[in-house]
Order: sequence, then C-alpha cells, then structure tokens
Amino acid sequence: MRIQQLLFTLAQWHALAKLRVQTESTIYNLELLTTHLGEALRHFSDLICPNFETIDTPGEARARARALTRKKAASASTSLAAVKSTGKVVSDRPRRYFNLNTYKLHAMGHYACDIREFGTTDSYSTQIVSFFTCFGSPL
Amino acid sequence: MLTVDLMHEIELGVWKAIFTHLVRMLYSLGPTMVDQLNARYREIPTFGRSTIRRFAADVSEMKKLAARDFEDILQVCDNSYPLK
Repeated sequence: MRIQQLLFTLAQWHALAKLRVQTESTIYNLELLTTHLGEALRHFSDLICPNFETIDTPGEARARARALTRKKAASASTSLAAVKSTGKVVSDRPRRYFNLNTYKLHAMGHYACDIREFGTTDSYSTQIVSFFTCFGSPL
Repeated sequence: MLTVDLMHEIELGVWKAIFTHLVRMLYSLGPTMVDQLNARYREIPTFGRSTIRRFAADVSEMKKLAARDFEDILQVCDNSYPLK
C-alpha cells in the first residue's frame, strides 16, 4: 500500500504549484513531482482501489436519494402523492470507482509550462474573485 | 487556450475526488475507521490565524467546505489518514 506516499506527493505538488515566487529549480522540481504523482495515482487507481468494495458514503447516498425523489416528483407532476417522501437511503448502492479520465487530472501536466509562460499561479488564480463572490466585494 | 486553475482544478477537483474516494475506502472497512480519521483531524491544532484553521468535527462528511478548507485538509492529510 502506498496511500501515504500518494498523499505526501500530492501535498508537495500542491505547495510547489502554489508558490508565489518560482525559480527554474522549483519549476524543475514541479515537473519531476508531476511524473511521480502520475505514477502514484495510477498505482492507487490500478492496484490499491480494486481491493476495496467502495460504495457511496452515507452523505452521497442521501444526496442521491433526494435527487431521485426530485426527479420522480418532476416526471410525475400530475400525482405528487405517488412519490414516497420517506427520505430513506436507497438500499441498492452501486459500486463507485475512482476515475482517472478527467480534464482536471490531465491539466496537472500543464502547470509547469504554464508557470514558465504566464508566471506564478497566483497571478491568474480564480480564488480572489471567487472569495468576493461568496463574501461580498469590498470595492 | 485555457490557463490552468489551481483552486477549481486541484483543491476542489483532483484533491476533493481523491479525498472522497479515500473516505469511501474507509467506510468499506467499517465506521470506526472513519471515526479515527475524524478524531485525528480534530486533534490537529490551528497554525497561525489563517494558515491551518480549526477542523470540523466530522471532516469525512465534507459539509460546508470552502477551497481553503480543502487546502487545509490536504496539507495535514499524510498525518491524519489511518491507512498506510
């Protein structure tokens, strides 16, 4: 099992990608770490995850049940009474797999070259705008 | 061409997906493992006023978390996750 290794590599990668001052050596380290992280993620997905019977967490199962109830209510608009409003968790919970085929994972390989081209990631971070949207703009 | 977006892609994307799956793995081993994860996170002291904030009582539920909370969870995760 190499879960700790994956977590440490991810934390290290995140710290390096978020540096507000980058030098050639930090970007080089980020490139090396990206390779390590890719290996660790593939190891996690191919060799560690299949050993666990992973299903929805209780929170996810509740959300899924709520969505199902809403969907039923929307489709059967004529008789709302037909929808069971028990809110009970659906018993047949399907197995959930870890998915590596996402854009956000693919984009991790672009961070090093984007930092070279456009500067440090805080220059074009969405965090500042996002914070103002949530908590009100001081401007 | 799109530039990268660290907050949405990594903290709220890749890391959230990995953490959710790690919690699912703990649930597959029994609820005590999840309690252990939550207990370890609760024990972590704050660091500075904004660097590491106080963690929720049940981190595994991931309720009402902002990107900075996910960042905190990531920064201390290798001490807190019960599996090797």
